[in-house]
Amino acid sequence: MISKFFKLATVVFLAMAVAGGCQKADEGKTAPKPAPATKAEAGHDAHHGGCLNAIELCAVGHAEVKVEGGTLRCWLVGGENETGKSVRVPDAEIRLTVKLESGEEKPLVLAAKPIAVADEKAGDCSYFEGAADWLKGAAKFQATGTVHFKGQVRKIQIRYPEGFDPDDDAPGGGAPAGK
Amino acid sequence: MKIIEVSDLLMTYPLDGHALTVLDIPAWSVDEGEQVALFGPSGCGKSTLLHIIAGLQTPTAGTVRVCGQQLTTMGEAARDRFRGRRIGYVFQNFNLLQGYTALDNVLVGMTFSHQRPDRGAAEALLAEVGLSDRLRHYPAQMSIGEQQRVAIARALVKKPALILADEPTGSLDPRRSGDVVASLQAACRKHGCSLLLVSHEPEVIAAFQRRIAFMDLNRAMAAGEALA
Amino acid sequence: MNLARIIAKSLRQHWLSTGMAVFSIALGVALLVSVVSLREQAHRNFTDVGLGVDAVLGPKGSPLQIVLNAVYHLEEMPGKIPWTTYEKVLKDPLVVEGIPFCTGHSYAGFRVNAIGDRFQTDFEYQPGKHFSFRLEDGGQGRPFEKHDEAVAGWEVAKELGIRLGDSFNPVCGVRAGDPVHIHDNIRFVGIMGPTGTPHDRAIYIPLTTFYTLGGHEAVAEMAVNEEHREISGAYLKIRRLPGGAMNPGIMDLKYNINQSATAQLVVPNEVLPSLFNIIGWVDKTLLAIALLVTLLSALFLLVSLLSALRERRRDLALMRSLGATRRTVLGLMLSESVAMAVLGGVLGLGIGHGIVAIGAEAIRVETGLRFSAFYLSSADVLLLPAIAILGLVVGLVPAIQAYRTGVLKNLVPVS
Repeated sequence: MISKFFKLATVVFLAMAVAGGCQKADEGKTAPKPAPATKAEAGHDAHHGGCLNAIELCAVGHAEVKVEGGTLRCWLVGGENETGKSVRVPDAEIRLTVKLESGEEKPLVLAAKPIAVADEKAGDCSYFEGAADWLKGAAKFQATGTVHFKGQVRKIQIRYPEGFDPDDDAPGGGAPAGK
Repeated sequence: MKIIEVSDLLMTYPLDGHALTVLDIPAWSVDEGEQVALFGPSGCGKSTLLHIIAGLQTPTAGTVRVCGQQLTTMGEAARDRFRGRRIGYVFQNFNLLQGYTALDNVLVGMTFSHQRPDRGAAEALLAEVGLSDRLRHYPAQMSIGEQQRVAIARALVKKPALILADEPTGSLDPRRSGDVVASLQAACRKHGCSLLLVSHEPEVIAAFQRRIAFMDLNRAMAAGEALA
Repeated sequence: MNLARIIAKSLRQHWLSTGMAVFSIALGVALLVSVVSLREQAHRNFTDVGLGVDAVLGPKGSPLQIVLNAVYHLEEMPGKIPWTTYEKVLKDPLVVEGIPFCTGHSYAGFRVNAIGDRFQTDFEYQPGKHFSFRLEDGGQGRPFEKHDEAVAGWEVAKELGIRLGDSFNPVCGVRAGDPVHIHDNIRFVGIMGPTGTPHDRAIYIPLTTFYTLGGHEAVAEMAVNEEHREISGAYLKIRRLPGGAMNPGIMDLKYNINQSATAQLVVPNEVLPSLFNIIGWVDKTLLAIALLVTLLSALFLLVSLLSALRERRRDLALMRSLGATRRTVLGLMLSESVAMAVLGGVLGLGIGHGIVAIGAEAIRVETGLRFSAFYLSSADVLLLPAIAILGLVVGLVPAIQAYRTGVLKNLVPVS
């Protein structure tokens, strides 16, 4: 009986010590930081909190799209895990046809907004913006267009807010990319 | 009032499949204030009787009352507390705490009697037994006779109703036995304690002033007791 | 003679085994206390609002290296950035202001940083706190104004015995044996009051002085020609939301700057947790070792109590014969165990804080970061009750054995 007592006491003490240690270890992990990039699928981070839309294929590149008020912001970024790396295009603008939830189609022109600190300029730019009043109430829409991306004219397909991944449309595809 | 009352006391031990009878006392008592020496040869059960009266052992059958309390129906903890308050015990080999001074050994006698430790009373008792200059001495620094006197002081310090002395002179020089017995009896008289002393030494019995009871090998108290 | 005295006497009687058990527990507790205290203080030091730096504009390379160099004056910058990039960043509406700097020099083991002069007056090393040269703040002199003037951090001045008017020759590099600018005598005109930050451990000279030091002919024109100028980096102050929270737009700013070929934006409060992840395993290992030592101490205490019990059976039996109940004896043994554990705990707390005091001094000398021996960590609050419980648990086995000690068997011969 005494040996059982001793064993129980040892187990209880070790459990207390480990629990206390785990709790204290966790305290160091919380650090203040701004809102994290939203994750799409594994490794696909939307660095601006928007939704990622594959440009033809995930491996080619993405258009990260975010709507703020009446402005649509679009960052052209790399494929696969390189969604934090900008891809510059020679286009001065990207013309989109936006299909709203009601079925109505509207044109939207995204103008190039060069990132000055990255020495971008019009004709060598990765960021585009377009504004319209009807965007203010648009919670969900689809858009299509084309862009000169990595040396080729490629089709852009945007599904907002869930994002677009062609693998999802394939038979047996997974969850949509985006938020 | 009877300080000790024994009735139909039976103590047996199992041995080789049958019971070995150590004690078989139909009736026996000691009056309050009385001093009794219990004489008998070694192995006749004197110490066993003392242990039962002190509540250190429970008999196989029978009743034992001490100070009117029936010990045989008390739980062990209750007997311990009773002994701590009402009974002082003097052992053959003194059983002093080696790491404690004479004074501290006497004070320990009060600790478990739920009395406030009274240094003055402890010092007075040690002076009474002739050890006023040994208060700070440890048992290893005292003679055997001095150690036994500390043990007597320890038994008396809590003002018990009853002192039980189990062969208190067993470790002493026979020439000193008479002095120790006389000292013990005088102290009990002075403090109003009853005394039950057991011994197998004729010298002790010869020195004992008061009632003497005999135990024989039949384990029964002998009829007819001599009163010195 | 009460029970407390009996316990004290027993502990004294077996002073050697008592002392060793208490000391071994003290050792375990000291390790725990010192590890937890240093860990918590390190965490506070390193996450203390980024030490006044919202973001660092630096060259491409390891963000951790940039933070360690720019904020803690350790390591070296992995490169340089063009002044023109810095100016473009300053134009971003999210950037309130910037203070450019050039690192790479040293003196007597301390870093010499060339920096914009507003660093001395406008930089907030903690919210609302600026460097001070006032005597009542522990400072002396004034900010540098001329190209051959310098100001010293408080720790530097204290260690090197710097006085106003003393001069020095900066070393072109941060390693022993690097060449000295023997023709450039720079004079200390100010000593900044202590801040408790790594800035106490650096020397600061005007930014343009960097380009005109002897041997820097290749970059001398950068002193005047901003078009070609390069800097090591810049401290940036970012516009905050009402209430003081970091503006979420910093993510966009960071993305934009990171797309450039030469620069990146590093936010210290994002990078430092990765530092803690790296050292986190060291920290966990140290904690585990400390816990293991404490556990071993507990085992030692158990062995000590059990061996003492063997010698004390007679004493306990005697106490029983004097009127102590089994529960009293159990309580005595448990109390002894708890007393030894708590004694060890108290001693361990003292030793642990002593270890922190020694470690704090060494860390302060090496990094400028302040650790206090008097800091009350979570270990200080929790350890003594935990150690008391440990003593109780450890004491159970010998206490139960004492409870079961027979009186007659251990005391008197039967006649």
